[in-house]
Amino acid sequence: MNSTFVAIPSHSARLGCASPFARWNLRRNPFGELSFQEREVLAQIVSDDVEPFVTWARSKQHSHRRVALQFVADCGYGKTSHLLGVRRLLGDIPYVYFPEHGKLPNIPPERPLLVDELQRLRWWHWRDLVSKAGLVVLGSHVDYEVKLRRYGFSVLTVDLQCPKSAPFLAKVLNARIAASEIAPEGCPRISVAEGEWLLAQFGSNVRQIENYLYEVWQRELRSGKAWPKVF
Amino acid sequence: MAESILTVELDDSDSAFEDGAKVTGQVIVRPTKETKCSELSVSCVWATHGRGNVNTGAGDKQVLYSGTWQAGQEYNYKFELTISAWPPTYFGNYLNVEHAVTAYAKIPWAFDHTSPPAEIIVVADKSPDDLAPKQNTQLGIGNVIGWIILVAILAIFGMMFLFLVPIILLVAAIGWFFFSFLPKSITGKVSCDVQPKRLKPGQMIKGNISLNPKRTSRINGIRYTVLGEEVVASGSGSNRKTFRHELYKTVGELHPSGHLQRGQPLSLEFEHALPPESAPSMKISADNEIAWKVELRVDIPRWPDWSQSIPIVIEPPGFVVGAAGRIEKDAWLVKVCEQIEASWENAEQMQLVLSAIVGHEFEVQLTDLESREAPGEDAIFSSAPPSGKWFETFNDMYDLFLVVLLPDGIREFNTIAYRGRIRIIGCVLEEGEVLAEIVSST
Repeated sequence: MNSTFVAIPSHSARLGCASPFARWNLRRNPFGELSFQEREVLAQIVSDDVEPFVTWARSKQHSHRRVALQFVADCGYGKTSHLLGVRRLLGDIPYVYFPEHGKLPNIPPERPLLVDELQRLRWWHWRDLVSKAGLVVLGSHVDYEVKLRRYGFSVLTVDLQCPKSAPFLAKVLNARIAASEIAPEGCPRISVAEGEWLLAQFGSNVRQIENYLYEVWQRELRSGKAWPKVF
Repeated sequence: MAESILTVELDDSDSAFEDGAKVTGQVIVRPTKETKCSELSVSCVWATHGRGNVNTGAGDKQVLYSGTWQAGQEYNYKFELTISAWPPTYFGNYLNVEHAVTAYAKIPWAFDHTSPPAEIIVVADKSPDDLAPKQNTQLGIGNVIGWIILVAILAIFGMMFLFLVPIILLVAAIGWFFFSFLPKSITGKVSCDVQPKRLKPGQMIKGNISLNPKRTSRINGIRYTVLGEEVVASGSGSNRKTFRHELYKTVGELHPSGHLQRGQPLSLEFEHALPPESAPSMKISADNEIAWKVELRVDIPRWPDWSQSIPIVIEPPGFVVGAAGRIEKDAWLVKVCEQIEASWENAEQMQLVLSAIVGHEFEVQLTDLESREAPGEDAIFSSAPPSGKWFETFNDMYDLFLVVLLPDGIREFNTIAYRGRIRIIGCVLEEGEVLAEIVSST
């Protein structure tokens, strides 16, 4: 593995951080883009059903079965984050991303397997996907539950566009703040009331919420405020 | 997540480092159990953060150890790494570049360990020709093969796409008609240029535009625009979104609203001084960029405008003044700070302190200077300050919140790290701010 600059978790005791965000005990704007490794560390899973389902699928008596866990939503609702959250549960398992343009990858034979952007699979990818027993974790814009069941899969579908709760949203956003802190637990957190306000403004689209908060944090930093107010 | 067993301690964490400078320190390992390490290394790394996709890069690396660590022991490994200054440290709105030293331990059959990053400030005084970090500049063999394959495919299957040619030509012709033919039917042949194309902050850029109008027409004006912006992109494919943040924009009028006369050539020139704290041009990747350009425009009412953009490159300013190396703590400035600290409640005593140090200069290093408004009417000055731009910063060495005046006439100024002389010129009692003036470059 190559060494990369992953600042999470940030437990440095050195408070003399050069970033202008250091005045708020932050290394950076917490709501900026994350690297792949950072996203994996910070991923939060919305549904309580996922962890028991994954445990069930990986138990010895079910290892011969075809099992699929799919996260369905449009852009910005956290499909990739959920796949990475499951990856954190399962260890270093293969992750395959199907890009919109360019060469499409092959489906590896290993199981468990994570597949992102399932709607871009060609028929030969589907053949490889359904040919092996084991757990596949899928991120897709389109719900393939019926098709997967037809191929003999036991399926759990998590619709990420369903309204998220304010405590869950606060948990997601606070994980971002915690990961950007210089001294641990030295920053205020997003409250449930603020989470409710954000959900009322932006619905469950976490990306839009993060974009909004990025701008708020930048604006408040320039204006020299003590700590940004969400609303 | 468990706390890392690795810590990086820098010998000098306050300094800013230039290209080729050595950063020294030690890696401390505190294993909680017997740990076999196949390689302990320490590296200089950089990473972007902000609204754009994250780019990372690694510089100098030193392998320090391989072997077994015993539980409960502490191990120290000295290191010396050479700084590579491109891209330099930068804190912007959508784009930030941070440098750090990190240690990495490869552990066979277990999770590897990474230390928390020990951040450093890196300053560049020149930029590479293509503005890209080293690892992005090489045209990989994969790219070469890709181009060969593309050319081969076009050669073999190009005939199948012949039907596209008329469509492409039609679109190009419409574009040419609206954006070139129509404007030039009024302006005639236009030539324009700016010099130099590569310059330092604070330098003067000179430009010219010449037209030979084909017919007498009304225009709203001829203008130049100097624009610097952060351009970043996040996501990929149809999910890709580009964000722009204007760092600097100035519009200058070269010709007022009026008429262009047929057959009367017009030649206009302009000069424009860039701000001393201009952010340097960077092209870290297609996702993270600081781009500067000069746009020339002939604004024609109810007609497509003639315009042309000329990219320019702003070089980083470096430290601007002073010799390389660490600046030692100035005992007299420490005393002055103590006196100031003791006089916050007493305006008269503060005046005395200020008058005692009139004209004295102190050598300091200031980092991360942020633009701000001039101090208000409640500021006390030892003498009237010259006109200029105001910045604020916190100086760790003297534990001092400084409001710094950059007088007009100082042409280059690095807001990430300034090393040079200041003169204390006043304070704001209510705010606890010490006012200082940058002394011109040595």
